[in-house]
Amino acid sequence: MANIRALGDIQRRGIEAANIVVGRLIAQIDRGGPLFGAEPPVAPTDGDHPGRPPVGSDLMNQYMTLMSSFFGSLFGLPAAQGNPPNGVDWSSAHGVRADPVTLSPSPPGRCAEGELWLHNRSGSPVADVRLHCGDLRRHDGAAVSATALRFDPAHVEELPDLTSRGIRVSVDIPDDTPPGRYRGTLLAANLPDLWLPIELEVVAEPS
Amino acid sequence: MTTVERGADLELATPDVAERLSEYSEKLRGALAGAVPDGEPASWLYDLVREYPTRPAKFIRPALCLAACEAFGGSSTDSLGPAVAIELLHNAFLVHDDIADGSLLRRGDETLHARHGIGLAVNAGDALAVLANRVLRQSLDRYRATLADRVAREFEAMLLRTVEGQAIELGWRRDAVLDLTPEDYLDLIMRKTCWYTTIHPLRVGALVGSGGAADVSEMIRFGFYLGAAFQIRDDLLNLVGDEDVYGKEILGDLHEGKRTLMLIHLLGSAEGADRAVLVDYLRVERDERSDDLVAEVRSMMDRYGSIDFAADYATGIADAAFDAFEEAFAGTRQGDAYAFIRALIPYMLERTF
Repeated sequence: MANIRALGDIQRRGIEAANIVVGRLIAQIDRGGPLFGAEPPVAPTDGDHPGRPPVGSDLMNQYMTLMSSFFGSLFGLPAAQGNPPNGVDWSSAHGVRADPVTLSPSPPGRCAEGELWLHNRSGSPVADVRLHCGDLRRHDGAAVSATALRFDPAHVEELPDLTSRGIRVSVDIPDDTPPGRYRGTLLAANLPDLWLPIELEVVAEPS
Repeated sequence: MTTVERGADLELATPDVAERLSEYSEKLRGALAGAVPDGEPASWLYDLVREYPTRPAKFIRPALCLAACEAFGGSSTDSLGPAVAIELLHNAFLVHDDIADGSLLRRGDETLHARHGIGLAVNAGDALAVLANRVLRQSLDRYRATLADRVAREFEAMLLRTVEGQAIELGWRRDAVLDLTPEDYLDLIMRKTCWYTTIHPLRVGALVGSGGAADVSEMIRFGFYLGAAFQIRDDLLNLVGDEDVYGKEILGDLHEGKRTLMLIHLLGSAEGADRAVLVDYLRVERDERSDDLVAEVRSMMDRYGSIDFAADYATGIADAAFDAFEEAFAGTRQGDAYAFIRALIPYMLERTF
């Protein structure tokens, strides 16, 4: 406030009132008030793993609940757990990118579902996009056949520039599939630079 | 009036704020377009969702987020996701605010509900919020877990502050609250406007740019001063601006009975018959406020010096923002982003839309 004396009376009143209001707020936060509490800054650590907050994180759940209750809307999309190298890349002004896709954990005999979004920032429309994927494999070689995977729509006739398209991914898990994590790679015809991991978690049938 | 022209002490060239905003907006518009699905139902939903984000806008909120990220060592693209989420949420707020306020013009064109009806507009506003959430979630996937958690907390706090502020403002109007002070007004806009317009974008940008290491506590004071100057100027433009440039209906706030700093000053200054007219004006519904009545209240603001009072008040707060800026950005690199954010302080007082 070095030059406060150069200001007029009304200007000084503005500064003083603003100082009171913001000071009250800061004091509230310092007392661990309902804003965020007096949280320390987050320091980078080597132990940090990449990716979103842990699934089930109370905070993330609270946030989702808040958004849902505020806008009366649903946020039903499954959350990705990892950070695939070819996940959505906001840093790229060009090319077609895709979001991570994680399928809902499901027991044998059920259908696991997820959603994938393609974003076209290539500067031109992309035609005849078809997703495909090989077998999903567990660490010991057990597999869920590629024929169990379905994409809806199976064929995107055109993806105009600066648009996005959601594609539903479903896997019919065979009855005899042992529990575990099955992983594979999604590719897209006509998009030679696009690939991304896909993971299916087969859980034990509830007893 | 003392003007805010500090900057000679800054060795960096003062950037052209409008030009810099234009550069950021170019980057943002592409990402915004990509955030909106192009599927069906287009004419009842997605076409509506695209309307506000594609109209002429300053993009101050996301630009602050990108610039703060750069100032704290990141690249603007690191914070593009949160910046786009902020802008989408802002558009969601605008759609719903326009309905609550009965506004007819937004960004130089019809408001969404005026063009498409209230039901579809409410739903499109909801969709904008859902898309903001989607974009945010996608961006959180890219951050380390602790940083992602922190950014999610920032959004949670921002949303709560904003709805608190909106509730207070609507409550003042519904209950015809008259005994208000300039301090009450500042407390209102701190919640309703400053948090999501300036404080939140600055804090999130700084956190992302620093990889979570920045102490963003000083950003509250700077963001509040900057946002207060922004909001008071916005309210002034609603009284004295050029509708073609401003993009909203002039005197719309007076028709709504919005408790602006000018109106609160007038409430504290008007005497006798003038005060009686003013009190009656505030106690009736919007559609009962005739053009003549609004013109009379507007004229009172000139006679009682309410316009000059608010302009001076904002100038004082903006002056304090310079000192707060130095505290908030202490230790950061004094590059283009630093200079841009600092130049926003006088810009807030001078802008015409």
